[in-house]
Amino acid sequence: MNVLEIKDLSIRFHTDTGVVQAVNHIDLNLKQGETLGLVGETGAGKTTTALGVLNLVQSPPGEITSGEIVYKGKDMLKLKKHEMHAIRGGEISMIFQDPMTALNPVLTVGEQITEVISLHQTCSKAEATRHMVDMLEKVRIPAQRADDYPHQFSGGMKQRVVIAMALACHPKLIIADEPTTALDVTIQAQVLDMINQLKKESDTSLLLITHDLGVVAESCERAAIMYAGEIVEMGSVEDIFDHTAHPYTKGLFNSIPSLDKEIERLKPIEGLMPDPTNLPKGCKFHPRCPFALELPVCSQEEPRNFEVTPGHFVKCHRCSNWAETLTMEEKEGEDNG
Amino acid sequence: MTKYIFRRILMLIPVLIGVVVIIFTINFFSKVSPAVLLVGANATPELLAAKEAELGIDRPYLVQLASYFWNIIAHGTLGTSYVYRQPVWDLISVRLLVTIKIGFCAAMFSAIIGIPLGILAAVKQNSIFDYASTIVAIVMAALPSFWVCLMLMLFFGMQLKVVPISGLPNWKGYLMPIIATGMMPVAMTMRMTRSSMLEVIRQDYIRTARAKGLKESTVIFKHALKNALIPVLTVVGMNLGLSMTGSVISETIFNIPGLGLLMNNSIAQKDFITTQGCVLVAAIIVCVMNLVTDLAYAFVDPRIKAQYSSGRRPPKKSGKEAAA
Repeated sequence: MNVLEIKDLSIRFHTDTGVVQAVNHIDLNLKQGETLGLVGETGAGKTTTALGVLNLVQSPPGEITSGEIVYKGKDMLKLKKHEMHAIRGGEISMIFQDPMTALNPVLTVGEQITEVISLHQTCSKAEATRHMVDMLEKVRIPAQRADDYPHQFSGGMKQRVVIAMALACHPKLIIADEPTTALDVTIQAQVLDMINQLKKESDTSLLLITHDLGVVAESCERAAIMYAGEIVEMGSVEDIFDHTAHPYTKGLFNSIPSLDKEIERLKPIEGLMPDPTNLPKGCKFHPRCPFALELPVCSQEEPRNFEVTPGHFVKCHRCSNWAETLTMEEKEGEDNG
Repeated sequence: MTKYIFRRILMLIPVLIGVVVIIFTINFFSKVSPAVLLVGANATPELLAAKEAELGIDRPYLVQLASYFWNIIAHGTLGTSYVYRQPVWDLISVRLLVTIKIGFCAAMFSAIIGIPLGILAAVKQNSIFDYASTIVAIVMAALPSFWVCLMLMLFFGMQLKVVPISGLPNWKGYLMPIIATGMMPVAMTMRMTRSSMLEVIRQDYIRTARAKGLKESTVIFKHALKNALIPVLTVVGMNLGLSMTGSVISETIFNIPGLGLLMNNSIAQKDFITTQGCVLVAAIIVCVMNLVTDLAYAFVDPRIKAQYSSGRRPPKKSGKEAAA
């Protein structure tokens, strides 16, 4: 059963320099208990998508121009204010990217966690406090630190506080926006483990936003690759890692240093991400795509979403028919061999 | 914390010495002898010299300055007024309370009006209300204080006859001076609250608060306001000091028996020793208000509190320059 279904979501920002097309007609769904990785470069629209789910896009300048976000059969974008408030933090909660700025500097961490508990659960103040202490201990922060302010914690501890806050009400869906990006590598693994463990305890779904393919391989069941506000490839982790179909995804893999191959230089994707106020016609990736020259259609027409194998969607003209894709993969195999 | 307060009070001493030296020097070299006004313009030079000797203003600069300080330190007096023949402190003490009342009320008036309007302007950024309040604030800040006083007097005193035109016959007498003094601070407080609030509501922790499912009003008043108030406190604290001591114009126009009027009259009458006393008291008030403001930060922001108690220098030394 799908917990979350995003259909045809588009988000625009109206700025002085033009309309930023941050998210363009994306479709995404997430099953109960599943972890979906949303991968892409900085500026691909990952965070905006996540904020869109909770209807937290700052407006103005942001605006959700089209689409539906269906959570448990209800369109989140059509909910009344109080219904939305009940879902935010209670059923869907979010872990933000930068723990340094995500906590309010003038409230103690205890207050900030207790606040969300008493907001969504009918319980006395004492019960809320007890629950808060439980949560802190779950993320391995001693209870006596509840009365401390965020500036008295290290970055990793702050991120754990943010996680405790997000998980305090046993949400059905967690949106984790690059939860490990701001942290040291040693703490990254710890934090990921913690999220996964807490997730398993309460059969929660997780939308994990990251630009780290390693993190995806480790903790996700499915992955969606985002480029210039579009999902260019989506499928199970095996589909994405072993049967990579979209040239952009291939480019991403080529730019990861590999331990078992002896390569002197990495192969970064040529060119830069297009200006989101002025996206190219046709396929958004065609100016950087090594195959675009072969197919004139790339710069003319926007590709459809092709389902190359069940559950594996690719937005590329080269996948317009199954046979072609096969030959492509064979060719790729020869190249590698 | 106590150590910090003690150190700040110690630091008042050089500031006050500086204030006294400056005002004394200006008076000393003003070329007008206070004795001239007391003995009359047609008096003989002998009479004038005798009067100057009586007042002690015929002595050299350093001797007079030293004796002024000595009187304060050893005898705790600010000298005797040339004109009123009364101790200067007696003149000030009966007037001080009136000025403090007006200044305090004006500062509170500015905070009570300015902060909510500033919040509203920030929350409804780029709305008609935002633009209207900006225009009103600019007008309020640009109008000269004496003109505002006269217009208030003309309209509320003469036309509507709801407040007394001059003096303090009853509590209503306070209203116009408070409004006239508070006008500029209202504008300053409002603009500062607006810009500070606008900055805060774009912070990540406000997004976190929204993501928790809090109502917008809770987000604004619990999470944003406390953070936004820190720079606003600086302005309110400065206004407290300024309006308690800067009411010379409104007190003179409305004929309010306060420190400002005494200062104005003593300057007109060349009663320099009274002027010095008034300026010194005003300087003490401004310095104390700055200290109170700095301490108020600690109650709003735990980070600053931590710095006070750890004995480190706090980050902001707001308005110390203004005090000097």
